[in-house]
Amino acid sequence: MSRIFWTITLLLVLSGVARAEPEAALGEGRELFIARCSSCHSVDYIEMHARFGTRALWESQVTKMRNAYKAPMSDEDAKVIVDYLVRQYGPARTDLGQRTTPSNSISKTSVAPGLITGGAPRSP
Amino acid sequence: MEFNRRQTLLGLISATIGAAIGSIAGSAIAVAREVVAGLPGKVALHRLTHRPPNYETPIRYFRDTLTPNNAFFVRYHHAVIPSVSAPDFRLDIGGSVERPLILSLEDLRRDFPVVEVVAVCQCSGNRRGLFDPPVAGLQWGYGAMGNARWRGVRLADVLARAGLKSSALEIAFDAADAAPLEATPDFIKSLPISKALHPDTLLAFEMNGEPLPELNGFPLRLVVPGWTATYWIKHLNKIIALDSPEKNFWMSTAYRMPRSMFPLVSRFPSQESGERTPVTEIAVNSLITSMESDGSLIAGRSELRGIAWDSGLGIDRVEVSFDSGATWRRCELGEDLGPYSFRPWRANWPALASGQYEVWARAANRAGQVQVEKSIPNPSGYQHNAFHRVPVRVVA
Repeated sequence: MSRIFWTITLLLVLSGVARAEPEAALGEGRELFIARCSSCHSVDYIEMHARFGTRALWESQVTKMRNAYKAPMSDEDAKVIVDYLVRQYGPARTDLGQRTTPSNSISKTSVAPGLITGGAPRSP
Repeated sequence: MEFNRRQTLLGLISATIGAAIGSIAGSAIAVAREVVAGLPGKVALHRLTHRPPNYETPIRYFRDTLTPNNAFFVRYHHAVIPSVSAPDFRLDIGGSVERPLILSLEDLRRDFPVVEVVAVCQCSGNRRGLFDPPVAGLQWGYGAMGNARWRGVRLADVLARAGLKSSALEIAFDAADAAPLEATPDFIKSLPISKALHPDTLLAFEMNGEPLPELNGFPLRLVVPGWTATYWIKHLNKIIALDSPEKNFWMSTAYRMPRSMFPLVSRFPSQESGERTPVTEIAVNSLITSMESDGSLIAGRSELRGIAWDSGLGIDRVEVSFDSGATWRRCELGEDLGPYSFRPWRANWPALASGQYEVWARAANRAGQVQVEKSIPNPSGYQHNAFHRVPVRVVA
């Protein structure tokens, strides 16, 4: 319960204080990607891998997120998300720095997000 | 010193203002792969990811043998980061012990000898972004590390007070951070008894004479000199003595590498399985730190200096080459802050004809381990310790 509370607090802080995080690239599958992936990590985890973002890479990463980190998604979700990642963050996208994203214009001036949730640690 | 939520938010607001000013004044600082940004309590670091926060230290801060707290790298696996109040903090020690304990920070300071060690804290995946072919994971450059004077109490003393049972095989460590999803494996790491009881393994509450920064584990973290940072649990609040190996994802699957690839001295037998072994000790390594702002050196004008470090066996020598490794010149070693510390070094410039060169640096330790020309590819991109190579301009 407390984790849910602090997660919500974190998201509120993130949305209110710092519109700092890069946003996911526009394209088919974006909404599902955001819904399934962004509660745990920012999209720069994705951008970081784009220079070698082959289908094999994205399939292995989505599998790792599902199996190891228990990201909640169906097989169908995973397929849509892998397709989205290959299209938007594949090695063909040599224009990554110039790609039109909702946040591209602010990404270089962005600030630290609300990292610290405050309050009670999880009970030991 | 107490950190509460109000201070945290104030920190955020000042970081916001600071970053806004920085972005106006310093847009030229940004490098292609990373974005420079502010974090509460930190100078501008190279940002890899926002959430969880992963930020690396720019190389120029390694010109100091001790890395400043406000420039020390930040690395989190999970996005829910606690803000713990020091008076409310409790450390829980249980499992295979005669007398389970619950200790406050004051208890730790009062009831046990307080000791110090200077030690490098280096992410297992430091320099992963330099592997060729690329390896998935955080694409670190050179700065997922730092060197600090850690002050705290010996883990061995605390375990002795608790009455560690002879049946214990590993000691596991848990912390106050958490993943947003309940189902995600909690970040728990374990150590073999031999390393846990080593007199240099500490529960540290101070770093370079100050309380631990929030983003480096306030109020208490594990310090495991010689071993990579994956074991240096931040926001430590629970210690569990185990009679059998810890089996969670972070031990059984993550932070492992093929056993045959690396000549490990310090091993973790109860976690070795088949072909894979946990990453343990820090590989011998060196870094040139005196580059100009464009990342190159100007012969005769720039200083030629850097740092070297290893797992605590001790740096024997550092050498530089200006002819792609055909000949090597020995450097002068500087102050010695102990075997786990960065060891500074410097060299004089040789006479070089005008033109473009590359200087290579390599270190060797007292066990005869030497840096390699090309890092050994391994599935998770650990233990990168190839020679550091920096462009050199010789101008008439």
